[in-house]
Amino acid sequence: MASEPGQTVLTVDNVTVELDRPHESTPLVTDVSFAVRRGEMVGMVGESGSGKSLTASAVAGLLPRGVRLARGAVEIDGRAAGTDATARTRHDGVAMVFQNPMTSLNPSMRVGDQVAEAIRLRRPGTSRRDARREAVEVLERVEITRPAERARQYPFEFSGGMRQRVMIAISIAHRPSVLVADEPTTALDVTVQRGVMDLLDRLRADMGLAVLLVSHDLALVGERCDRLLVMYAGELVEQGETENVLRRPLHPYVRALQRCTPEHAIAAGGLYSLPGRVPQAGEVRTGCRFAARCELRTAECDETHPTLDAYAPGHLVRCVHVGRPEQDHHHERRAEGGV
Amino acid sequence: MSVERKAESDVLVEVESVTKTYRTGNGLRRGTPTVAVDGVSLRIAQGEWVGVVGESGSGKSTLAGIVCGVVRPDSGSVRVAGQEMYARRGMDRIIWKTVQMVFQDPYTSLNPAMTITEIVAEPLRLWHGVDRREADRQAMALLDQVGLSSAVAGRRPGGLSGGQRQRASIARALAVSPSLIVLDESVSALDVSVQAQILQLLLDLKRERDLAYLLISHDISVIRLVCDRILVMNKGEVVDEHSAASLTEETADHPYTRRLLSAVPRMTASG
Amino acid sequence: MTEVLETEPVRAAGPAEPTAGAGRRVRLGWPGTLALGFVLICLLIALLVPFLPLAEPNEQDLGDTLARYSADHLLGTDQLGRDLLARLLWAIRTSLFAGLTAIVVATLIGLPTGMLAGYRRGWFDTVSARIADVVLTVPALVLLLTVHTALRTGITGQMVTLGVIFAPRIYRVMRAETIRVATMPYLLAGRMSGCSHVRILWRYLLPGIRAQVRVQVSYLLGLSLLIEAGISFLGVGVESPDASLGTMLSGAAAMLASDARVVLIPAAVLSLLILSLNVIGDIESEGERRG
Repeated sequence: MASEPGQTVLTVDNVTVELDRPHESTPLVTDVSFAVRRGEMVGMVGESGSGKSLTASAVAGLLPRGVRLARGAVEIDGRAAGTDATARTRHDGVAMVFQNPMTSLNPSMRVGDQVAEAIRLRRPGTSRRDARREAVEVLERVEITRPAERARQYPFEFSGGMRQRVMIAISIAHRPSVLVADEPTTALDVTVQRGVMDLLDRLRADMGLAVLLVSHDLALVGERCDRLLVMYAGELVEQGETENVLRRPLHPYVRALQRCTPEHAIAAGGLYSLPGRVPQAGEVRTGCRFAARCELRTAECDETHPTLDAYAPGHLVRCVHVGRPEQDHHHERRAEGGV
Repeated sequence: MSVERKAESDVLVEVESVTKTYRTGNGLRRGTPTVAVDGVSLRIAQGEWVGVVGESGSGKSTLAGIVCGVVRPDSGSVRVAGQEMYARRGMDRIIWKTVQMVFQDPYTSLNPAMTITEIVAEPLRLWHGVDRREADRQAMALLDQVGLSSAVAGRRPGGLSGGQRQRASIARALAVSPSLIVLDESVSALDVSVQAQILQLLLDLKRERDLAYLLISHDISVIRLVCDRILVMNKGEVVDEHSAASLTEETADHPYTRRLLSAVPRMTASG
Repeated sequence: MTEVLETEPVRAAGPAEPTAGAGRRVRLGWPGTLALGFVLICLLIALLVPFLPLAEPNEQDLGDTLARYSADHLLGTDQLGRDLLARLLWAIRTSLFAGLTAIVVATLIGLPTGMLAGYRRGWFDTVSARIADVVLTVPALVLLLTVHTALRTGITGQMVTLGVIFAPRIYRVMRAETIRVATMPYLLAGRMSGCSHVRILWRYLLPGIRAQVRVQVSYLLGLSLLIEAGISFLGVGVESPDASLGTMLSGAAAMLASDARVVLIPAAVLSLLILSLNVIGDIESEGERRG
């Protein structure tokens, strides 16, 4: 790929995903926009029902049946990319890995052949033998020891972490610019998770791979990602450099989510439980979608739907209570005194 | 490794060097035996919250099964409230009045054909001989206690969220009035905000009812947060035991415990 | 304890959360509605036919054979001058009751043994599976002919025999389904709630496999009707002059060239009935796979 370091390889522009029903529109993801640069790892966090996985599927061109892209566009390497499989315009600049590697691998096919198949699928001219040789190289790149030998084995002979490496090998075999990783380590033990995450880090350093890491784990994305996108009830509520979002979170939801994590509770010496739950599609009301659970809720929150505004360059937030930095002392005082 | 233990008389569950080996393979070929639990001993006192942490294949779920009377160990003994659990057939039914379980997956641990009230009322009727109307009334009270409204009570599990289902599972277990609830990865499949709600609920219930818990989890942070005592399992053995409050990467003596702690992703803490 | 904010109804949010478990309704669509309607009408006829103002189905009138449609005979008469409408409606009753006999026998044997084998496994599973294998190797037609010759128990005996022949099919499906459902943690939760094994089978397992029971019953009922027609045609099922869809076909087979109507009407009813049952079975099993 001929992209320069730091160059934008993925642009998501106002993507809105709806249930595919004829006479109604139930939005599941609303107006999501962001960009990812070459070699960058961007984390997309949110609880179940936040729309993070659907957004990821739209980016990878794998929107499932039953939903449709209502508005917006995805652009990879400067070219438009389809968002669902039926569009048959899956872009070869993007690949996706999923949570459960076992269900994504063919149990009755040698691992090396599965990687070789992926290579031949993208480059139909490649001979069987060349594809096999290349498959071994790719397995070596995902740090599988004795790759030539392992290529001849079947998925059941691999541990969970090794299978996920194979999935990553299949995904990067055709050298895409963007890898969408949807909860890639959720099913793995923490010690194995660390290895897989280290691998992703090295791949983006070595081949300039851009990674969109979808996760429910705030700590994991906090440790690994350059920038974060926080989703709630189908829309982005905060976006910015990891440092800024986690050290100085602006949106009350992000602060609440942080306080819910066991790590935070241990440090704080007690549990904090955020009441309620994420509204389901179709339950979304006017006003701020987080208002019902928010400790800063005012009448304004119920009336106006806040827009995603820049608080500082690159740090965007969707909350009426967050003003510009110079006005923000007002907000600070309220947050401290009020609750 | 100084662990404070409660007085001998308060011991609720006493597991003595249990071993469990599984045989893989089929009727024709004898597969290689896999030792799931190897000489594990464990004591749980009245009102104590014990955590078992380990990675997949550590044998922690098998240990949970052994404590619940669901997995018969090959050797060793399990005493619950002074009674030998695997001494004779049918003992499991007696044990279940003392020990109950809440499962990992809230989507497959409730009977889809019954309403939430029916599920919670069932143990009241079958274990305690309460008549139907009284059982329904008590079930509603229990559902209220776990934070489920009466609107949810008449529904079947299919119409509930994961958090609501886990609350219903807890209410079902509580209906037996057990002394110990085994939580087998019961909060692992939940979102953090829901997980925090459920952990808070468990803490409140423990305080109100002097319950003991055995929490099985792969998540050492959750265990450190809520448990009194931690057992670390690796390859079927308990390799480390620690009081939860004082456990950090620095205080952990065992290298494996340190490895587990260091592998936990560290979020940049908020100011 | 404070009430948490979980009072709003949770609606399945699109494709992300599949609606699981019982209580799910299968969408019939128009083919399903037609099929179900046809089967229900036939069942209604079968129940009501003794009370309907119909001609005597076995009464011959050799002076008025193969008559066309008239006020006396709405569908005309057959080759022996019998009222075709009366014979057709009685035939539906006889054939459906015969088919249902086979299904009831097959289900009464196959369902409990299948559930027990799948739930308890062990020796009962092994033994019952072997018996099922043996029964499945017996050729149905040969057995039916033998029973007819040796016992002369009439159509009821034949259909009970057919039920025994079908039992292993129900047994096998129910055993497999039970094994699938039995791995669900909610069964263990039920045991811990104090349920006896019988209660587990009844309240926990049966609802989980009920959809498959309906699928099998639909398919096998269609097959039973076909077999009833077949053996009655051969003269070893329902015996002349009683009307069943099979005897109506056999009696009128010779008429195919001269007056096809006498053959085509019962044949059409039989085909539609079997088709409808298969359509219902297909829709049920489709819904089962999706759920």
